[in-house]
This record gives sequence, structure tokens and C-alpha cells, in this order.
Amino acid sequence: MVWTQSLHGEHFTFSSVKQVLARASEARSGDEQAGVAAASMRERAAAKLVLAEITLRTLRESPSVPYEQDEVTRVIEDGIDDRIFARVAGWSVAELRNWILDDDTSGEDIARVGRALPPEGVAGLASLMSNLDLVLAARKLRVVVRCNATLGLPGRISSRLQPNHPTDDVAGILAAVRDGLSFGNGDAVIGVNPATESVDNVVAILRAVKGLMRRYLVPTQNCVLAHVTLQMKALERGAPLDLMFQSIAGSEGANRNFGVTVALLDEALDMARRLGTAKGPNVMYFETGQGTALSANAHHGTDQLTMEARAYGLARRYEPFLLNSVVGFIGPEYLYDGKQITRAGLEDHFMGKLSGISMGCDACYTNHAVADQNDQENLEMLLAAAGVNYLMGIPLGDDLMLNYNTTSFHNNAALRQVFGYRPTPEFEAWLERMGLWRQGRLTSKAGDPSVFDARGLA
Amino acid sequence: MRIVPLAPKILACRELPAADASLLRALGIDIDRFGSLGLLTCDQDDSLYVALDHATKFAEVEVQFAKSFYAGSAHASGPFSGEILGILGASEPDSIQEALIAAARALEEDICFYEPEGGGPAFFPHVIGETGRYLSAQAGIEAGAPMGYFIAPPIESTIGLDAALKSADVKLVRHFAPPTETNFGGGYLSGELHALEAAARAFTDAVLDVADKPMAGMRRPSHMRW
Amino acid sequence: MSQRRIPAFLEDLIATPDSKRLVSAYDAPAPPAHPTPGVEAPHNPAFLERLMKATPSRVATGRTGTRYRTATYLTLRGDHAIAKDAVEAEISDELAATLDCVHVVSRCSDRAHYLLHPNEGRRLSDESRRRLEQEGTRDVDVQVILADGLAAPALQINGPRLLPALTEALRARGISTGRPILAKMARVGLQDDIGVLLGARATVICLGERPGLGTGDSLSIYLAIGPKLDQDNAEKNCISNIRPQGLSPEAAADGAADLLRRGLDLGRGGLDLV
Repeated sequence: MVWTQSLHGEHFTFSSVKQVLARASEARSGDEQAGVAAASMRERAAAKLVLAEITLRTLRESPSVPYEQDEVTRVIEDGIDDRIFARVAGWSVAELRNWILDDDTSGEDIARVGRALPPEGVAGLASLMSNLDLVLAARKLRVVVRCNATLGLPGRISSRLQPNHPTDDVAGILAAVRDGLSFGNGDAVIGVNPATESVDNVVAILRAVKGLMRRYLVPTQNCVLAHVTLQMKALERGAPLDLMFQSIAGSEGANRNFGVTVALLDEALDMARRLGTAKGPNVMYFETGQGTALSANAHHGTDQLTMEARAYGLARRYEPFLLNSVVGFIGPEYLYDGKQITRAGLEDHFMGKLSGISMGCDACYTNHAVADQNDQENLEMLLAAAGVNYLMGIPLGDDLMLNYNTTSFHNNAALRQVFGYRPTPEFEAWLERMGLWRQGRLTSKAGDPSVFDARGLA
Repeated sequence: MRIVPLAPKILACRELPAADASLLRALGIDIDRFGSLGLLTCDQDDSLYVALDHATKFAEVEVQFAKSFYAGSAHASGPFSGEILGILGASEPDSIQEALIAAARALEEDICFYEPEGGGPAFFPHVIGETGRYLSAQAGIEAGAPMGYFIAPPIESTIGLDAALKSADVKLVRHFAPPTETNFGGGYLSGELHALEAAARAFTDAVLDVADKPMAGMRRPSHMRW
Repeated sequence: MSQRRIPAFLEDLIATPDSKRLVSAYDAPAPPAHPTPGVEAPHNPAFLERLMKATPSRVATGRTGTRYRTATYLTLRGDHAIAKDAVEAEISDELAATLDCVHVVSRCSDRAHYLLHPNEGRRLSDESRRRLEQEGTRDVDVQVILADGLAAPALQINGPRLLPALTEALRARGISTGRPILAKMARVGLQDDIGVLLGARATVICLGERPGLGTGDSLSIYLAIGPKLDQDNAEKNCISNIRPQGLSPEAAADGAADLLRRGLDLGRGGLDLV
């Protein structure tokens, strides 16, 4: 198919759905690097006009990678309920946007349809939405999930406590855990990135964190973010594991680069449900990021927004408890500055929620991107307004192991204060019992990790 | 005078996941509650006592047996004897595993004797932040309370304890008059953590002072009688 | 790897033989003093001190409401400035003059371009290509390359010691090296382009790591056996964290030379070497 569009007397031609999607996507350095971005703002505007009139049926029939060639496409396509899809197949992307933003359309209405949308449609929709559109629409889309605790309820925001240590020293990790808990962080998960990937290390850290959780009866989940095969081996060794983690992307080739296949993820989910320590039923944790497929040279000429939407299409097969994009980590060659990182964070969150996923975000930046703490805090605030399920939590936002900057313990507390949000209900009750939280706010004891000095701890 | 740490070495570590009932009885172990055993020998007895106690904080285990050997590591009965045998008991092998790992880790990182750089008396100025179930019972203090565990050779430990007790608000809750099985002396102290740390430093300074001036007591009296 | 923790009340007594002190030999800034707890009236001061000593993470900094104390915030801003400046910095002319190397640049025009175009940072400029053809040493065992990477200060600080240590360590293992190369605006993959051009059997590139807050002094070494363009990272070996508070250049040089010797004997690198 070919589309032409004129804009103030200038004519633009687009020769495929893939091209329309890529040219219509907001400006970002990764698409420029891939050579798929619009050449000018006028071309972008024209592409959006074309995209607005394309139907969801056409988008579903134009997967970014053919069905026969890519298992991500197959998982997504086979997972779409044709009866639900039939209701919206004839809608244009513009009609979809209008319907989603309409006051008479509830979150439940959208949720029913959301799971049947192809990722190319989800990404196309996001490209027609302004930042405030993305915030408002996402706010309607509650996704509530359960592991040991209940995440995603309205009026609440949670955090992943990320107590990384440059040499995986257990005492150092637990020191940071105490600091974060004292600020009311950690109700989504206590998730550690190990500096050294080994089964012994994964087992030791899972046990240490679980040990602290058991001693203080903290109602949360533990997780070590090593390769999924190492976590599976740890489970076989009897390590206590609540959430099973893996990084995923939007194409089979990109996932292969991570050492991941659908079959492996299926096996991981099964093991987590059988051998894991969580109540469940949601036991998976995924991380994604715009630009991942391009960096693995497995994007198939697709723009990074669409590739990201495909990752969510894959993820929903596993009904994850947590999924967050790590939006500013990949580097300025994919998302150049605060503006692009912010836009991507809002897009990812909306697309994830629309896809029916319990969506969080690692609102972050590296020191070689054109961004600073103010940009990062802007994104946190926008995501909080949008109803993000969780953000990261790190001492002062400075991760010494991964060398990047993200949300801090203080910032998560401040966001709750600004928006009047609370933690998960189980965690809130626990914070109150610990004397750290009362009547919707932190007490004067909060922020002091030494309150966790009870008997029997290292 | 500077000091160097003397790293303790575990010489042997074995498990009996389902120990023989009559052996358990002979060792005075409650067979219903502690059918699985973990055994350790070490070349530093006091370090292992602390490590065993530490292990009770990490797993559902209790110290069933812990004894020092006469004359210490220098006169060990065999290559794997060291100067102490410690035995942990649990109702299941997994707990023993967790406990042994915790004990080994603690010995690697946190517990050791010291001696002056260049050689001299070995001493143990150890402060435990939160006792486990074993040493607290041995000392007659509440489990989880801090404790001082100070050991040195006979004259050093006596001078050392005197300095420690005078330095801070601490109490001597158990005294080991020399000679112990390994020919050392010392004691357990109770008090607030910061006081115990001050006492440990005072103990150390006193031990080093004895090492520096061992004959300081031989002074010519100001008024000679003969 | 666990290390023995010395209790605070004994720290000043511990003997530290001078030959093992890494920091004293460096012309690098002294490590920051251990931060004092910012928490007012902590529940357990002694325990709080131990927690802070257990990790380099910025824990127990205190708060004003839910925000950082002013001193904390300004420290953070200062540390970010150090990191940003490290990213933006270029290899100084003095360093370039003191190290006897062939000077090359990648296809990037400036730092901003470099940050946005990693592929361009993996290929030599046409002029550098010509220069290497004339001045580079051909067919050596190992071509040594020093580069800025994402933090030129890391090379400034560690380079002057690393280069002679590496050359000597390789020579001692019977490995020929030829004239080293100093590369500007280089990504790791530039070693592939250089290796193929000069016909080296292996290449080793030493370049600055992406800085974290308050740092910019850390160098990584990447070894590639049997250079080929866009070689997979899985086929290379990496030694990282070479910096005044981390691995010494001499230790890194020995480690790299050992790996290179094994790799040259085996004919390949990557996981097979470790």
C-alpha cells in the first residue's frame, strides 16, 4: 500500500505501514540512528495525518516482522481474541484515540479492548497522543495484580527497592534495604542487580533479602535480576524466590541476543509458580527499553516505539506482576535528552497499561545523556500523575553498581506527599506497625535505617 | 605498635544429615529436635565459638557441643583437629547448610585474633553487636544483646581486663581464669555496644602495652631496703 | 569475594605495608572522607555507623521533610558535574605528547557527534587510516590501543602507568607489540578496525568507562583475539574498574597479558579463556 499526504502544498509519500509508523513517531535519536525517522517536522506531521486514518485491521495485518519469521509476532497474533478485535477492527487510529479519551469511556471499557489490540496499533495510537493525553488516558487504566501483596490499586504508588552493591556484599545490600524501607520504599519488590552473575551469588542474595523480610515480616517480594536461567537454577537449589525476572524485547532476534526464547520464558513461569515462594498468581518481572531491538540489530527496520509495544505484547502472555522500561539507561544514541527520555517514559507507561500490564518505569538517565536530575524528577512527577504502578528506589538515586541515576527513596516519599498517594495496603499496614507511617504520611522515625536493628541480624 | 589480623581457618567441616540415635544420645543431644548435625574444627577456638553463636541467628540450629582442645592448635592431635570441635544441631539438613555457610562467612569477614606486627601475643578483642542464642546463654544475658568477648594469654588478659573494666560502663559477667584448655584467659562482658567497643580498644591497648614493656613491673623502688 | 572487616575501634592500629598501598603512588585525588550520618537523633547510632560503612551507597543522608538536606543536594549536583565534565573531556595535548603513540581519531567530528553515533566511533577516519598505513607497525602479536572512550580523564589518570606496565608485561611473555596507538572519540569496536588494518593477531584497547556520579577515573581493557570487524562482545575479554580506588594498572596489565598469552596460544578469546 502507498499513501500520499499533502501538508501546506508539500506532498509526502509513504510506502508501507512500517514507514508510516516510523515517520509518525515523535523525534528520537534511536530512530535517526536507524535511518527510519521523519526527515523533518513537516514529514512527521504528514505521517501522523496518514496514520490517523489507518484502520486497526490494516495495522494487525502489517506486523513489523512476518508471522512465519518471528515468534514474538506469533505469540501476539495467536493471543488476540478475534471476537473482541472484531468490534474495533474497522476503527481508525484517530477514532480509537477519540474513544479512549472520551469521558464516557471507562477504564474497564478500554481494558476489555486493550488486550485485543495489535502492538502496531498501540504504538500508532501513542504517536497521536500528546504528553497530557498519555497521562490522562493512563490514569484511567488501572491494572491490579497480586504476588505477596496487591499492586496497582487507585490512590497508591509503589517502588522497587534497588539496593545494589558494587561487589554484591550482602551486608552492604541489606544496609541499603534498611535505608529504603525506612522511607517506605520497597512495596513492589526488593530487587537486586548482581554485579557478578553466578548461581551462588543469586542464591546468597535471595536468601539474605528473604531472611530480612522474614525477620521483620515485610509484606513484599524479593528478586535477583540475573539471567533467568541462573534464577531457575537457584530455585532448583531451594533458594526462596518470589519474582522471576528477565529482560525482554520486541523481536525474536532481540530476545535471542538476551539468551531468551518464548519456550524458556514459559518454562521459567512454570518453575516460578511451582517452586517459588510467592502467593501469586502474578510472579513474573520484566524489564524492557526503547532501542533494545535496534542495539541488537534485530529491529527489522522498525521504529523503537513500535518495537517496545511488541515487547509488551509478548509480556502479557505471562501476566507479570511487574514490568518497567528502563527508559534512560540505554544511552543518548537512542534517547538523546531529557525531552526524549520523558516522552518515551510516558509512551511506555501508557502502552503498557493499555496492553493490560502492571506497568512501572525506571525513570532514569546516564551521565552521558543530555539530562539532569530536574529532567528526571519531571518524568517521575508526570508518571505519578499518570498512575504508574511503581518507580525505582535507590539511595539518593545514585546507583554505584550500574553507574546511572534514577528515582531516590526521598523522591518516592515526596511523590506520595505531593499526590496524596499511599503504598500497597499490606505495606501501609506494616509501615504503621513499624511506627514509620501514620494517617497517610511518614512519621519522624522515617529515614533512619537503624530502626531495623532488631535481634538476630548481621 | 601496629597489629595484623590472624585469619582463622576451618580445618574440617562435615555433616551428618541423619545422625545415629545412640551417638546423639551419647552426646546428650535431643534426638527428636536435632537429628541433623554439622561439625566444624578450627584453628582458633574463640573465633569458632563466636561463629557458632552467629550461625544460630541465621538458621534454625542450636549449638550442641563446643569444646577446646588442650594446649591449642600448636599441639593438635591431627591435621584436621585444630583446637576446637563445634557441633550444630537442627531438625533438617537445609538448616545445617545455611548455618555452616553463615559460620564460614563470619569467620572469613568478621571474627579473628590479632597479633602485633612482627610477632607477639595473639589476642581476641571481640565485640558482638547482637548475640545469638548460644553465647547469650553462656554469658547469662538476653539473646540479641551486645557482648564483649576478650581473650589473651594469661598475664595480658589479666592486665587487659582490668583496663577494659575501668574504661567504660561494662560488667564482667563471666571470667575465665588462666589457664583455659588452650592456656589463655579472659572473659565475657556485658554493656551497651558503644561501651563494649571502647572496652575492647582499652583491652587491646593494654595487651599491646604488656607486649611492649613486659618487665615494666620490675622497677627499682624509690627507697631501697637492700 | 569477601574481605575481612576490621572493627572501627581497631582501624587505626592495623598495619598496612607501603608496597601494597595503591593510592599513594597515584597523582590522583585523595578518596573522599567517610561521610557522617545525616540522620538526626538516630535510634541506634553505633548500628547506623556500621550500616554506612557496609556500603558505598549514599544511605542515611538524612532529610528535610521528604527532600534531601541542602548540603546533600549540592554534593549530588557537584558529583553530577564531575561526571558530565568527564564525559565531555578530551584527551589533553600534554598526555598525547608524553605517550609515544601514533595518534588516530574515529569518524566522529566531535564529542557530541561521538555520543550520538556509536557506529562512527568504531571506524577510523580516512586520514587516520592513511596515517596508520604509513606509521603503524604491521603483523604484531598484540596491538596496544589507548583511547578516551566515555571518560578521557580515566586515561589521563591511569594511562601513564598502564602503558609501560602493559608493554613490559607483554614483552615478558614473549609477545610482540610494535608502536602503541592513541585514539580519540573511540568506541570499543575501533579495536576491530585497527586490528584488521594492521594485521595484528590480537588487539587490546584501554578506554574510559561511562562515569557514575562523582567519578570519571575508571578504565576498562578489552582484548580481542583474531580481530574481525564488529566482533561480538561475547568473543572478547574485559578487565574493568582500573582506577586509584580499584584495580592497579600493574595488576591489570599482568591480568591482560596472561589472558592474551593464553588467547594467542589457543587462537581465540572470550569465555574459553576464563
